[in-house]
Amino acid sequence: MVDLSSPIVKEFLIESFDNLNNINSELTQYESAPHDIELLNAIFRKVHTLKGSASFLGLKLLQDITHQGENILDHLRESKLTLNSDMVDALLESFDACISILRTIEENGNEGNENYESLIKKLEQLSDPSFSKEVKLDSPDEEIVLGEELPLLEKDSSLEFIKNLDSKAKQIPKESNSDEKDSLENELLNLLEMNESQEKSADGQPSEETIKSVDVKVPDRERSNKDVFEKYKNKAPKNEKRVTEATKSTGNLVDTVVRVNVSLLDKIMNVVGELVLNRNQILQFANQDSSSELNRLAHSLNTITTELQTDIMTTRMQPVGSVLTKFERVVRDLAKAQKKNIKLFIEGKDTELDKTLLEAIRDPLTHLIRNAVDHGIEKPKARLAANKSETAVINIRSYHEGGQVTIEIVDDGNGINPDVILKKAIEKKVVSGDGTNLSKKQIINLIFAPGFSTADEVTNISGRGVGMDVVKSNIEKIGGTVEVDSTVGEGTTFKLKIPLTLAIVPALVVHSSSETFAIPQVNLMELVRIEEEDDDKEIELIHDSEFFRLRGDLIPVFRLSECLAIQRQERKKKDLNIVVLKAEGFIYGLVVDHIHDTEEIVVKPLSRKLKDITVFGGATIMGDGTVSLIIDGLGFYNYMSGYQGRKSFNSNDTIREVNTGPAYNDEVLLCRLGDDRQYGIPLSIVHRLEEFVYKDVEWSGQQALIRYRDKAMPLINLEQTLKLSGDSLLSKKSDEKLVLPVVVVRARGTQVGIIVSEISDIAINTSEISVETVDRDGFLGSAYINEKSVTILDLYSILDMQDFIKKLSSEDKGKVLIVEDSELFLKVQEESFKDAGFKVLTAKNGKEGLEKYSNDLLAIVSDIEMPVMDGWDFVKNIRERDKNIPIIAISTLVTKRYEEILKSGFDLCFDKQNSAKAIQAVRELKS
Amino acid sequence: MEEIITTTQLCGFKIKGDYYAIPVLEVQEVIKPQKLTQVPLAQSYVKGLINLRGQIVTSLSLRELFKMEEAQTDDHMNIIVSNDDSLYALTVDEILDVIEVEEQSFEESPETISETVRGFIKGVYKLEKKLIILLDLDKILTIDE
Repeated sequence: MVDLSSPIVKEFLIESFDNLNNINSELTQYESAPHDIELLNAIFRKVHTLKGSASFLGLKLLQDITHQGENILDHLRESKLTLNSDMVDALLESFDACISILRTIEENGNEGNENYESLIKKLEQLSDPSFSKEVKLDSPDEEIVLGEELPLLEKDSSLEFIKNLDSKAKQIPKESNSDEKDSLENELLNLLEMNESQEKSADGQPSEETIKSVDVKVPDRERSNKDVFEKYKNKAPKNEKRVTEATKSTGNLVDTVVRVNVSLLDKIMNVVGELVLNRNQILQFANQDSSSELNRLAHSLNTITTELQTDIMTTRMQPVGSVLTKFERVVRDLAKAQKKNIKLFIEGKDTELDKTLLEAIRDPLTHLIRNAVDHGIEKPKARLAANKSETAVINIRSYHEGGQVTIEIVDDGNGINPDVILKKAIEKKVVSGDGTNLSKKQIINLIFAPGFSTADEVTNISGRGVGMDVVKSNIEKIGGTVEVDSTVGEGTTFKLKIPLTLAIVPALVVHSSSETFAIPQVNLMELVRIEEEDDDKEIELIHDSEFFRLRGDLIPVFRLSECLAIQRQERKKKDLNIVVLKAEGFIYGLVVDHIHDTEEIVVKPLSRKLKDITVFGGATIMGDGTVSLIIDGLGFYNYMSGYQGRKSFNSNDTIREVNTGPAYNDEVLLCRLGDDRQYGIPLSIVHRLEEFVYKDVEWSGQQALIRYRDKAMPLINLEQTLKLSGDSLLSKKSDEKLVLPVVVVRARGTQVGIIVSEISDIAINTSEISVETVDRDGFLGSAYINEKSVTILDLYSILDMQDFIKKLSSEDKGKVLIVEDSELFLKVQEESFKDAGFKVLTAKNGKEGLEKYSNDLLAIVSDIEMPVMDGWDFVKNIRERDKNIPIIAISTLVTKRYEEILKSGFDLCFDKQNSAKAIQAVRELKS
Repeated sequence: MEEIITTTQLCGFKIKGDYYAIPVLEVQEVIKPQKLTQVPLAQSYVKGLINLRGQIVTSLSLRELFKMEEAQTDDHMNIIVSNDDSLYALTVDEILDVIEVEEQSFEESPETISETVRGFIKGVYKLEKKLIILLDLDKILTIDE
């Protein structure tokens, strides 16, 4: 009984009918031309295929008949038999029988009750070369009856055959020539082989015993045959499918199915692609035209084309199950070889995918599965030790998601350890340097780097250092993506996203400097628009690179027109459209001029001359007939990061030359004052950058004020306060419309605006701030930024000079120790803690910190990367003395090594941008 | 003894006053100037992409390739050739007739032809009044500078 709704059964029926249709004429042809070995082979192959499929589906009767037929044909091939008309008749009869059985299957799902015993017997006799030598035998009727009485075994041909052999063996005279013995032995071997293959397809398990018993010698035949027989009896066929209610199939399958050459489908697909383009053009034309008739026609053309496109695409679709089910065997064999217990679950076998894509993912998937078994899953002992069930589970799931097919391979093995990966990567020089600047995700992604393998022992299955990079490039070749996610000790998930089809993809159409580009929706995550008057969102600068805060995550932003060197636009603040793209797990923004609609585009390859430009994945023809380039999300990112990589490499070099100590990472806002010199303000206390118009400034006595967020905010005239040469913009009263750049600063519990002549840039100070040059209050020191000397302002003392600042009561909330190697940041923190009413002790490294430690401290705030003694050692030392004192880490490492920091003894950690939170935390400790 | 005269048909064109040609069998068609889509980051001689009845054609400027200054007018012609499944349009100043030349009049590239051009030509046909330079299409379409 077979499940008629199963695609495999349908395929089997179609194929079998197809084969049998031709086989009759082929056989008769062969009869008239018995020297045509090719023809005989073709016939043999067809019968063999039919037998194989039948045994796979558990169709015993069909298998029996074809097996006998195959035997005859096989002997014919080996010239043990010569074809005679009896054989042809019998074979033709057997083919007819097969067709009628197949018809019954098609109708009812079972082989029917027709009795083919005599046919099988006839075939059997004909197939016996010794029979032709007139070695007569009495047909052992009883035994056949016995076979019928054994429902468990069904009418197993092998059983009969063995019986037959037995009886034959008895009858063969002792002096019978060795030829006969040989042929008998051959038959036995054949039989064993057949049973073995049958076994394999039945439960996927090669039987070792079966293989052993091939060694059986002729003298022991009788006994050994019995042994074999016993074995088969024990291994009663498992391949019997569960009987499901046979669904009545409608019509004859052969009549409803036509086999079509794939290349023809490809051609049709291409033509449909052209048609889609044409439709797009006509639609656009019709939209401009007011003629209702044209519009109506265009509309119906649209509907028809879409339908045609979907239908054509469907013809190429095949269920992924055809690839995935093969892994059951792969996993089983590998697991056995490695003595691991693994259960494989496959979900979503029916998900359909374009045939060419299906072929393309077969090898990468196999590799991933093998990796999961080999690297991912631990040995049972290790699993038990890790409190996991002895049997590991691998889940393969495939489903539709966002116009793509997603295939997930999830194992519950030991996961990928980023530390191990990083170590290996450094060893193999896949990454340069110590890799501390890499995030966990980036480190895990290193497994995709060429020439990378982590298995400690190279097994014969995987771990030869080729593989993951090939997996990745193969998947990307077909426009898909691979993502990996792993938790140490819990398992690894690979997520493959495969486009449904190659030729036609949905894409977002964008404009940049009057050029049109298409961005495939595969890479598209979201669209962000920054309005000119939008205060909260803006593009931020680090060095020369632009970044954007997308819900708290900093993502790099590229300007399309600049990157493609079409045109350099002024980077002034205006309405911006950011297309957020995802490639290889990296998220980045692309600033474009205009965002248009999404459109179905037909991807056309670029000529070989342009293939090297990885930024473009191809070209397409737009609705108006013009050609547009398709931006390849991954290629673009690689191109840009390669470009950026070179840039940062150079800057790293200069750092090393200038400074052998640890690099400082203080962000400084650079601005220009009335004396036309550069001054720096620590970015950590800068709240916002604003521009005010002169006429809005109000005066209260000598103090300038501005209405800012419904509050009066004092404005500081730095030139006056610091007695600098040159005038502040505030002093130039000539122009009412003069725009004043203002740095809004929060310090000393208030918010003030500092008027500057120009806000120039944000820079990272990597050098030490020299305090020796300070000659008056208000300056912290001078730093060497971007090859220029910049005076860093001490805003706290500047504020203290202002009349409106009320001197804070020196209430004592407790003593805090701040350990920080950056002079500038130390000052900022010291002052902000003082503002909050704490007494502050400062230290410039862990060693100094230990010296200043006393048990009356309320809390310790410490950096991690410091010279002499770093934060890791510092916290270890402190913890030896005092287990309870709260220690807060403030470090740029926080985002990357959060867990590590907390494990090492710190109670809390914040990044340098959020240092204010540390004060809040200490305050809460107090209360 | 009678000499056997074999002839070849060439598609002739003019660039900056000189006569050039490619075998006529290589030419798919000749079209007027088309709307171009620029290809950023590409070599300078890649002028852009053309939509030729739904096929994408890469337009190459022979003047740029030969390091000559670009023509002032837009009055050029595109010779469409195909190579390795890709279509290319060679922009030339003017299209001449199909010229029938005798193989015997062919000569290897003379030394005197400028360096920048010599790499792209196969040789020269000496006609009665003028010389026709035979371009090596394979070299033109496969160079990677």
